[in-house]
Amino acid sequence: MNNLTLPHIALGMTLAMTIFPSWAMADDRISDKGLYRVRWQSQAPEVTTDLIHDWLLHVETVDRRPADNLAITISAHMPGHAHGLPTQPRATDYLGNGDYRIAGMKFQMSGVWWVRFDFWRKNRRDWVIFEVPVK
Amino acid sequence: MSATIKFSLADSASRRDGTCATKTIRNEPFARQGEIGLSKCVAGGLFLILLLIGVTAQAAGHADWTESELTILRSLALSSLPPLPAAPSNRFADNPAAVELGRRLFFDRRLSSNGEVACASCHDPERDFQDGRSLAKGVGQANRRAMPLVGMAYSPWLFWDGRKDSQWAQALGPLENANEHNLSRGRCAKLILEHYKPEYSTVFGAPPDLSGVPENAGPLGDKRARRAWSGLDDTARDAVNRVFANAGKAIAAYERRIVWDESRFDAYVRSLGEQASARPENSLSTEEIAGLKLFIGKGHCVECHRGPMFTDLDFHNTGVPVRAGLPKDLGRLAGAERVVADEFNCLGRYSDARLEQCRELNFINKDNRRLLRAYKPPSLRNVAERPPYMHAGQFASLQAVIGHYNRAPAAPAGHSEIKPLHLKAAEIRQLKAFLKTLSGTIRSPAAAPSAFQSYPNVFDSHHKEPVGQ
Repeated sequence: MNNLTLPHIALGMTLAMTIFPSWAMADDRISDKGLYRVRWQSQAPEVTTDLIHDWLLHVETVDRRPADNLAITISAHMPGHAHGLPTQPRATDYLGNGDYRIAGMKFQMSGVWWVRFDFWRKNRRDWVIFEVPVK
Repeated sequence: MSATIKFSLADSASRRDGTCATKTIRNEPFARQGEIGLSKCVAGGLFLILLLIGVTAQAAGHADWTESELTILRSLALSSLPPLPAAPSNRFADNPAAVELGRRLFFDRRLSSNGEVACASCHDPERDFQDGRSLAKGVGQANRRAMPLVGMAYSPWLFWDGRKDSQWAQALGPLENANEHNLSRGRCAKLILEHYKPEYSTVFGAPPDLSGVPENAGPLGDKRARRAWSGLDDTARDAVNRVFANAGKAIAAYERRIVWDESRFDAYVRSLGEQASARPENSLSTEEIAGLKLFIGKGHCVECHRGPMFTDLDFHNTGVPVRAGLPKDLGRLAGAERVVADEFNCLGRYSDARLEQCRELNFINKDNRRLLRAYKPPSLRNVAERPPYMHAGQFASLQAVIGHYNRAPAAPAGHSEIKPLHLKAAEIRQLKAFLKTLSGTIRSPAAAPSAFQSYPNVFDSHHKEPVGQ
């Protein structure tokens, strides 16, 4: 990834824009151990209930280089409730430029959700939690 | 809006004499309460104006709802229900000839080992497409309560435990179940072609030749049936499966059109958007509105019973007790495993869906921790019309159901999601009163054919032996 060129980045962004023409998104967040800077974008214009949809997860190192070759797991729950997501989302594709497709997102209740991404790379684990308002 | 006008006028009156105390407009129908709350300070014409505006505001029942509450109320109204969703795994779902064939199959008692059980036996149109029993009764007694079929076209998972992922796959389950229709798959396919060959051909094309298939052959029947099934070659098994699956698709084409009509609650919510035209018959009583407030507030009911179907169609462990005498019931934990293994699921060879159209199954959550004894919350529409309640009829009345949620006992297995509500007796009455406002009529493609009552028992003289155990 050190020899990433401008055309590579442009291609990655174009691909992401094609797949996710409109989205809800969150600001960057630094992972728990400080390894990654992460943000998500939703395929849907707003995150709502009952819709199975994809997210685009952008992961880069804290010095702004795309983080590739990550194994990612996804979990979520609502604070104060005993249930999680009705689906089990997965990171299905690496789209380049630190972008991962997270497929199978679905929320069954409106309100605030905590969505957690765990990252593994060479036996090092880190994670990040986003607070996601679901309409 | 009427309420806003009234408040501003009342405030003006208050400013004029400095003594006027106004009450918050209550949302009960004016006709029932006869209360306007300005007795100390009104005079002459102003009183009359306020009275008239107050009538409008209270008849619309709008006054006491906050904007966020109104948003919830609108989300619960039938008008929020989207159009009938596509059924990608069933390309015959909207074929009129399939609807009619499905309707006839639905009411046909000949599709059972004793000639006495039809789909309509447990899903009786006269009883909101359920049977009012704690445990469904077919050829034998089932282990679960029959679920109402209304609106199930919207559900990604069928049965209490979601062990099927389409209406057509669901329809096949009882046909082969030893306690329900008790047919072997081979016999079922042969019966369909025997009685409905022209109709079948119109919808699905020329049927296969099943003459080489034994009467009693199926993968789920008794030992004899299973042996006969394993003796068939792949072509014969596929031919039987195809006819069997198509029968399910026709039944589903009929069932998906079983939908609700508006209830008193829906009329009430609709009236909240109206003003002078709001009619008294659209109002709810004080007690019913109090129950509605509890439903979306302190009772937490709306967390699972949400949206226009009054269900989130997911699975929840709410600590429902075990019914004695039944086999161990793992709920969704087992249902999730079964639907993945089901040969008639969205990803199976008899499905018409493309891989990308099977997203619910592709991303199914099989997280063991929360699925043990988790069951799908049924819609609460018409709930007052169909006791008993829960997946094995554990509670005889709405009072008992609300009492359970109020106490929130520990789950017999797994972890219950609910917590004690601390509802008082009056609040329980109010909740019950509200639930009764959810009743309405049910529409289906046509009335039950008289054949449901009058088909001869074709098994009287032969085919007496039960199939499968």
